[in-house]
Amino acid sequence: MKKHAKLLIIIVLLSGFAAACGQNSVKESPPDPVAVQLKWVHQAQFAGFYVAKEQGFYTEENLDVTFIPGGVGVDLYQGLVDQKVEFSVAGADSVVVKRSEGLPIVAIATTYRIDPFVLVAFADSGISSPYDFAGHTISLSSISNDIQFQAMMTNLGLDLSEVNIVPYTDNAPFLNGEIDVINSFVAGSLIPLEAAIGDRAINIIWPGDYGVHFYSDTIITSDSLASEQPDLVLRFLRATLKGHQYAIENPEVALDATMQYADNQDRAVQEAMLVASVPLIHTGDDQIGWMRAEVWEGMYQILLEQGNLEGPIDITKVYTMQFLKEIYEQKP
Amino acid sequence: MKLATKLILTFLLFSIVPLTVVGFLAFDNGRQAIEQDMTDHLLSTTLLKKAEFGTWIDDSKRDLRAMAARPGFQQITTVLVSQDSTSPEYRSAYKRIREDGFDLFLQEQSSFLELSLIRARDGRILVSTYDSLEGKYRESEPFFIEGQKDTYVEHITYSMTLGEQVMHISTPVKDETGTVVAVLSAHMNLDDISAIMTQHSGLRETEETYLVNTFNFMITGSRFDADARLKQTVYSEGVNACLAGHDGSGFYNDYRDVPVIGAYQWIPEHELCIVTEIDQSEAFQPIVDLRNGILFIGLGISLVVMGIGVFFARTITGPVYRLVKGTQEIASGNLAFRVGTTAKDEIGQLSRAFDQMVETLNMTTVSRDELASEVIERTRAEEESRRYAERLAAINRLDHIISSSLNITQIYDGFVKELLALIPLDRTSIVLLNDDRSQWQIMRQWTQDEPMLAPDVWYPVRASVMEWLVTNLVPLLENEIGEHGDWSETEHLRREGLQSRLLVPLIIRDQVIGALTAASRQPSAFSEEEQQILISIADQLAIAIQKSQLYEQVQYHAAELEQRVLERTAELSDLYNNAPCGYHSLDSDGVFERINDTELAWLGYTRDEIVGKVKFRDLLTPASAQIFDREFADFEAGNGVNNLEFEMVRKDGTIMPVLLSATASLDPEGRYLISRSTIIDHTERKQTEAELLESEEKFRRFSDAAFEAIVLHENGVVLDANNQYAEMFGYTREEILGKQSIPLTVAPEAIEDMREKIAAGSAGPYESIGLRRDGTRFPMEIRIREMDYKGRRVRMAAVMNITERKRAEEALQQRTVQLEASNKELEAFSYSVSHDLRAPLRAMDGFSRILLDEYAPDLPNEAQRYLGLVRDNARQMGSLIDHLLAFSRLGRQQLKKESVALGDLVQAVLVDLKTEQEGRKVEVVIGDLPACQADPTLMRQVFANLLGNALKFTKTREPAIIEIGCNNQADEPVYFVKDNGVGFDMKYANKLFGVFQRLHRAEDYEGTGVGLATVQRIILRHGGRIWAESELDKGTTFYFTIEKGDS
Repeated sequence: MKKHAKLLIIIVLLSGFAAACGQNSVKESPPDPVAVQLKWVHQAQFAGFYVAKEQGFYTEENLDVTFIPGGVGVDLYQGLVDQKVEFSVAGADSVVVKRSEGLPIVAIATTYRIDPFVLVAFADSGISSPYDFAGHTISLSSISNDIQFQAMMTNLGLDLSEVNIVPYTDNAPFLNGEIDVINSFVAGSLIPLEAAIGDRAINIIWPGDYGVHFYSDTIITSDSLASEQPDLVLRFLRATLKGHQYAIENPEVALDATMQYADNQDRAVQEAMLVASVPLIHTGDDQIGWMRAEVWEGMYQILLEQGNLEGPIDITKVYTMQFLKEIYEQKP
Repeated sequence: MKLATKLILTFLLFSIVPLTVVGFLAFDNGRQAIEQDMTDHLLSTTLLKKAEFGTWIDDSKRDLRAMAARPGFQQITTVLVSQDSTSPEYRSAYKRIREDGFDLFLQEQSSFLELSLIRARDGRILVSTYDSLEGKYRESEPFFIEGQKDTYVEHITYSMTLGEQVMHISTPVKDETGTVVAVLSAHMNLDDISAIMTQHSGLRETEETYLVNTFNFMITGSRFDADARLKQTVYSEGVNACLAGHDGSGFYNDYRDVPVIGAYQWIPEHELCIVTEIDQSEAFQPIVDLRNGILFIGLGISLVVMGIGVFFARTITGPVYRLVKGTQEIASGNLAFRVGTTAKDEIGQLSRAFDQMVETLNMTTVSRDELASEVIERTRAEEESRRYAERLAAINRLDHIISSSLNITQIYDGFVKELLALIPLDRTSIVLLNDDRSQWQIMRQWTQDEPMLAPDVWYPVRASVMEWLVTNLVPLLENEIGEHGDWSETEHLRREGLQSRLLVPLIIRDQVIGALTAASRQPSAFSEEEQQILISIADQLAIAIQKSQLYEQVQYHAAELEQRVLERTAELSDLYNNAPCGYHSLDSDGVFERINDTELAWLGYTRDEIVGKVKFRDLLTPASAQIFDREFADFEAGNGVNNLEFEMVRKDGTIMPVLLSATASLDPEGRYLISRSTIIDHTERKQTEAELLESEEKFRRFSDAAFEAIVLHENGVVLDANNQYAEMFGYTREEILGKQSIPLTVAPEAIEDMREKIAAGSAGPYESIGLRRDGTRFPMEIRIREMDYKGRRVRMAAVMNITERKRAEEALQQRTVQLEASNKELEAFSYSVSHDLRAPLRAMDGFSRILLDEYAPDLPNEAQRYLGLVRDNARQMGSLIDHLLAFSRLGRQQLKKESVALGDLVQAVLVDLKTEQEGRKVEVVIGDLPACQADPTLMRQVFANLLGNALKFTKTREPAIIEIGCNNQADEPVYFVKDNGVGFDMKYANKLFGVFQRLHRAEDYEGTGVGLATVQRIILRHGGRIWAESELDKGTTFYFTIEKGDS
């Protein structure tokens, strides 16, 4: 008797379930399309992203990621607001500036946790620190350079008017002695510059040694995406950080992945860029991508003092630790 | 198998088994010893290196601290931090500290690479043994910040400036007042650490020691990748355990994914993990050697033993072969063959005996008896096949019986008939067990050919032979009754003279549901074949029983389903018929197809008089019929109509004004199928309008200072008007007198319509659009009367601004639509609750039950308890849904009021609640309860809920006191139910009657939270009130009233 009742129950249940299944058949949902606006053209700077894609880390998170290269005049922010791209890679200082202009964007992790901006002088010129700049000609290439340069000089109590600042054109004026100090980027323009210089010794001056600590490449998204689809953001960031980690551990794989995108670039240069970028990404303290409140606060103070912002803002709204914390607190 | 092979194998067996056992034990012991030895070695290496590392750090700290504490050093530092860098004192101090201090110190101490003196004020490096560092700032570095407090050892990080990993030790430098003025920092030589880790005489080829930081990065070089510092992450089992703060050792794969033995130690003060590992391949090399040695020796011994085996086999098997050959010769007919041996051993004797036997055999001929026995054998086979055919036929007939009948008794009788035809039996019966297999009953019993009346008695399974069957699930044959056990029925059977019996369990899906029994007065009466027949019949019988039971259940469920359909239909029909508005449907000819009770009652007809016979149009006044004709054509095309005013003629000839809204159902081609109309009684409003008109006229006639706007005119020219009239249109009275009133006060678009109405002599009221002086418009209602005015025949018009009324009408209409919508929603909700919510619940309950029934033995007790909880909760939710449904039905249910004797009702409810009082001391006091006019079923629910609650919340009281009574207050009986239970805080009194509101935790007091909501709804429907007074821990009293009334 009991057995029969059970049989009937099973039949009734199964028929009910079959009907239910007909309505919402359990299928693997298609991957979420994600577009990423890169800060610059395809190069080893973004190796971690390429690795995440080529090693299938994005696929594991059910994401279909496409990369949009940046370049001169490419707006890295509007696409986020217009929902044309889900994420952008941009300079941390510009995120603060844009946020002060009212753009609803937010930083979720920093890949270059040390700004690669440096100043280079020939060793035989006697210029080894900002104290030696007075009376010399220095090239700078961007607003961001300018801000950090000014902040550094101000920190040291040095007079800006004693320095002759000219815009950066190419390496030639430095090589032929027209200018004394040239701006450059570790893991970037410094590589071809060193190649062009050859054996002659140079001094590299880091703003970080003079109290100016800027984050550089930062992954940003829109406020709305971060609040409405936190799961998507989390999955993207988790895969991206995994890609960066993997790239550091497996430079050959990272280089191959980079060359798939940067196919018109010189492999040797890309390799040098990749090697040079490792300490910027993995600084030895904290986890990859991690952000510290005091660095954001320091950047903000400099930007505010120099009048680069529309007005005072709440700097803690410019970045969120929500995703980094969730990712690293889950790790084994 | 040949003897020779057997012998060789036996020899091998005797040699290999002990060899293997001894070899394995030796190998295993050796392996364990080596493993233990290796682990100990690694652990001690790790501890040693940890200690060396600690010593190195401590020495470095001590040296640095000593330097910072030198009085001379402190003095110079004070100068450096206080003087301008261009002053001569500064320069001299700088020179001293560089040359006599730092440079000398570095020469002595190889573990320091660089020294810096950092100004405490801002983090500026004043002096450094690296020129390039001077002037740089370290204000945000931990070694600077922490170094101001005490000697600090920094975690290893990467320095961009130096382009390598660094580790700083720093210590504060104080001036003579003890204030920290600078930080002395040293850049440690990490090669020293690497050297400590890698250089050790005990290190074997693949053995290495390294440090890992909390981010899983290696911070000393790897033996296998010199470039691994801060680049190689390590997520091995050992490192993970170590980073979790554990010390120990283990076998796992390292960062190269190579199996290693590792030992690890956590160094909490530096947040580092120190690991020593060796490749298992190297560590186990001695074990491999040992294994190979044992295998080699074992193989040698086996070969020697095999040789000995072959030799012995040869000497024994030669003569045996000859004997075998002799046997073969004889078998092939050569009786002349002789083995002929002279050997003295046992085989020789056997050979001679064999030769002698062949001799005798030669002389004997084949016996005739063999032929005879063959004949008997054939006859027996034929008999066997005949019986086999009979048996097949009988089984075939059994199949027929199963498929032709579902009546279990018929099946039993048919079975036994066939059974007795096959096997003569003295007694046979069919026994069935109850559901939990604790009792059994004889369903049918035959003694020889006669069915006997089976006593309708249930016998306990325990101690009966059925217990044996339920446990063993196999047939039981007793060739002598009682030989396998003394069961409860054994003695009885013996007394009846039965000697042997066979019981075959009826098994369905691995469960015994009963048995087929057969007994005989002969001992050992059941042959092997008869047993087989009985077993196969029992199998068939089990199937038949299963089928029949299944059929019964299907029938039962079908009936249940039918009952549900009926209930649902009745519910819907009730909703349709008892709606507070009329519903009907018309076919394409306008004839009633359906009509509800409400509309029938309004019209005074019976359904038979109307449906299929009368056209809706025929029930309208001629004026309404015209409107109907005009609208119906459009309506048929699928356009709904809304709030059409009709006048219907009742059966008694009276007129009933109604508002009609309708929609038409069309077929896919757009052809009209049927209408669905809603009718609302409009009588009341019409009457009000008429009365209003009458009173206004009276009023107007008597008072020129009326509140109404009144105008007197002759052929449109204003003769007189009151102020209200002038104000209504934004004029003064004087401005209006003598003017044509229509162009002045009526909106141009409405003038023509107005003139038509006046020409038709209509007295109104009719609606038009008023025009104010400022051009704004408003809806107005006009009534006109002809009257004598100063000897002339004039018209008096009363004008009303009906803006508000229009608005109210619109609101009313919207409300009606909303009401209809919410009615529908409610219906849909009930449906969804009763079906959609229940289905998943049934599934939960059903599957949990199956789990418990089928897999209980595999589940731990805890899991079974959880499953029980799942089922309890599913049932709880089911009961919630039932209560909620009942609660929602309350609103629609018709009250059937009659005189209710509440005293009797309370007594009856208390009887129902008996189980709640069991085992408790409950004192119930029933006071004088006057009878009331109420719905008895609903009142019973009220008391069931209130008394149920009272019992529930007094369960902690000894004794519980519950008092039911009635106070007469201001001539209104107030009933009450009072208890001395746990009570509640009066600040939650407002939550008491809400659905799903509970004031006590569900764990403490069960319940769905619907009871009091139901009670309140019932009381409200009876026009009464309900409230409660309570005090925590003292008790609660519920009071309620019921509308007095003979209605």
